[in-house]
Amino acid sequence: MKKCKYCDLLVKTDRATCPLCLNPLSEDDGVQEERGYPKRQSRPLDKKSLFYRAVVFFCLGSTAVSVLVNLLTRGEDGPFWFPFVAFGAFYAFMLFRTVVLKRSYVFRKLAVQLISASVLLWGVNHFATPQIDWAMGYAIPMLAFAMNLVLLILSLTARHLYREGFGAFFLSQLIGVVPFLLWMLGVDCFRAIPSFWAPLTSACLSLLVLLEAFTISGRTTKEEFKKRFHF
Amino acid sequence: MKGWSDLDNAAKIFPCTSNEERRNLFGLYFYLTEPVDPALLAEALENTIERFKVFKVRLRTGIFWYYLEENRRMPEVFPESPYLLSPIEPYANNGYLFRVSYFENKIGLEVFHSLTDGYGAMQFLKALVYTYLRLCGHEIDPEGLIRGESESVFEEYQDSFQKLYDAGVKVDTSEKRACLISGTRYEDGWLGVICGSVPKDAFKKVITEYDCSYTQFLTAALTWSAARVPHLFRKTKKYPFQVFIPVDIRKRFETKTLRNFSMVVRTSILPDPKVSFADCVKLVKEQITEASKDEAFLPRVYGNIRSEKIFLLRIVPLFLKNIVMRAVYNRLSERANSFCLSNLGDPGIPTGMQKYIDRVIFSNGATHSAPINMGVTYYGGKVYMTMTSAIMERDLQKQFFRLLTGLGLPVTLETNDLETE
Ligand SMILES: [Zn+2]
Repeated sequence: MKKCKYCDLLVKTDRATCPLCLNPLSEDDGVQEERGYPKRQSRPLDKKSLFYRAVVFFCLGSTAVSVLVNLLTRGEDGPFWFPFVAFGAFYAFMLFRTVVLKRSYVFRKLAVQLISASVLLWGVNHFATPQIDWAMGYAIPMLAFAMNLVLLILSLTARHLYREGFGAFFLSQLIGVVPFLLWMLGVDCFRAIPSFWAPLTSACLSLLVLLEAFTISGRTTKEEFKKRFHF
Repeated sequence: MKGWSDLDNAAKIFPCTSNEERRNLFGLYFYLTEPVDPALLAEALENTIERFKVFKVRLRTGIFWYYLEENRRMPEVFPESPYLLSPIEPYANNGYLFRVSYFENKIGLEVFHSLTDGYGAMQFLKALVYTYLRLCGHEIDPEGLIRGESESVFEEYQDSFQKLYDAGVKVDTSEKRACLISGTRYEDGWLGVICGSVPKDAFKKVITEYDCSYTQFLTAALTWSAARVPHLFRKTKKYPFQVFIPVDIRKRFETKTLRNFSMVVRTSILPDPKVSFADCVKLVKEQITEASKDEAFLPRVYGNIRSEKIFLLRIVPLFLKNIVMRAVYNRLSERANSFCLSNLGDPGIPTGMQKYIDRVIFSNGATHSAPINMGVTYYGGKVYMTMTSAIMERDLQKQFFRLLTGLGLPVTLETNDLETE
């Protein structure tokens, strides 16, 4: 214990000066005091956030450079290849963000993967082989099918995953229906999807899963809906 | 709890207004007489959380509101960080809205305000320390003061504000601007702590002399000190110094709820160095007595409850609500408080348990607009006044403690590391 004669009070400290008036404190009375607070250290560097910023820089940088190089070096009728880099960078970023960085719910991670992989596939398809719509016709519905099968099995075996990732679960089922809807509507921007088997299979599974959610798992589903939509 | 619940009325504002500078956290710390065993503390926490199901929750985002959902994971204990009240990362903490820490012989509980208020947190920490001491092999009679020993009652989960609400009463949502303390902030979110303790008998004598309560005395002392540090107020000098004083109203409305249930009294006095301390006490006493009357504070509480009952507001999606609430909060509520003084009073610790506990400290977190705040507890014949500060200037603290010593009160200070190297 030390004393500040200017403030007229005792200070339990190893400081040399009074914490209030900054005048020198009297000599210690020798009684050993335990520390009330951990010693100050500089705040540990947030490695994750540093790494995150590096990844953002890398993704944006590679896209920007490829746009520039592509536009400057492209001949009269040369190809535009920068979209591949851009889609790749976007996918790499999403992959990093959800899988590595954010400790999120399992279902949400999977749904984000499904969405970003679909965007990547669609982009590559659109710019590399625009003659045939293999992404919407096969790749995306098959991917959605596989993902939704996994989600169904997980949701039935680990109930808490379903409860946590409820929103992502439904979003993923909706994505499973999209290619089939586009085929049915014959939307222009997607041109004709070559075959409807893959989109149909994926849509059927999604519909069955949704049916399951509202019948067999009806109680949990109702409860989760109530939580999320209560006002 | 039916697996999930709405945030209580007072808690709704915190998730959307929280950020690095306004963490909406507060901390309670028990200093034991022997070093803490982390393994036993973890075991005690696992036992205690099962009894306090109301805190065994995590915060989730719905379409229209946030909600609290039962947390299936177990809370963990952490070594205390030198960075007091550092933000609680949901994923790093298994989703819990509180953090239990240990350091030498100290057990700390830092809580996000959406979960509960000081009273609720104190009940939890008391039960935790009680369970811990029992695990250490000490036989203690709970004397009916430890919630953990009684059965959990439905009332603990209740949002008592809703019970209180009377739609017929006229509401009051006006806020007056206050002068705001500004200074040089610690760089890395550091909070400086200066805790002063004064023997309670000596203190009692002084407040009897001034014929006021502890809270009234402390508010007056702060107002008096604020008048002597005009350089801390810069541009807002012309506004009154307004002390925000949360008051626990559980006794008044006979409820056992463990969620937020307090009202706010606010004093408003222009800082004037010519006003004597005795006059300050008189002014504060008048204002607090006036503001504590039902007809003065109920309209304010009702005002908050009413805004959450407006149908059009309820059906607005949460992200839009957040934008609106943040804007309103920044413009009105935050500008209305110069300083927050929270007096938890006597924690009510069983006599048999007191010999294992040296002191009980309450740290009230700092915010952007009110960078210095104070938490008060009485324990073991002493009054502990803990000033937590996000700025390096310590003039207000100096004036405050010098006022106390000037009145003949023996003050002992304890601080964390205040200087940056
Ligand atoms: Zn001094």
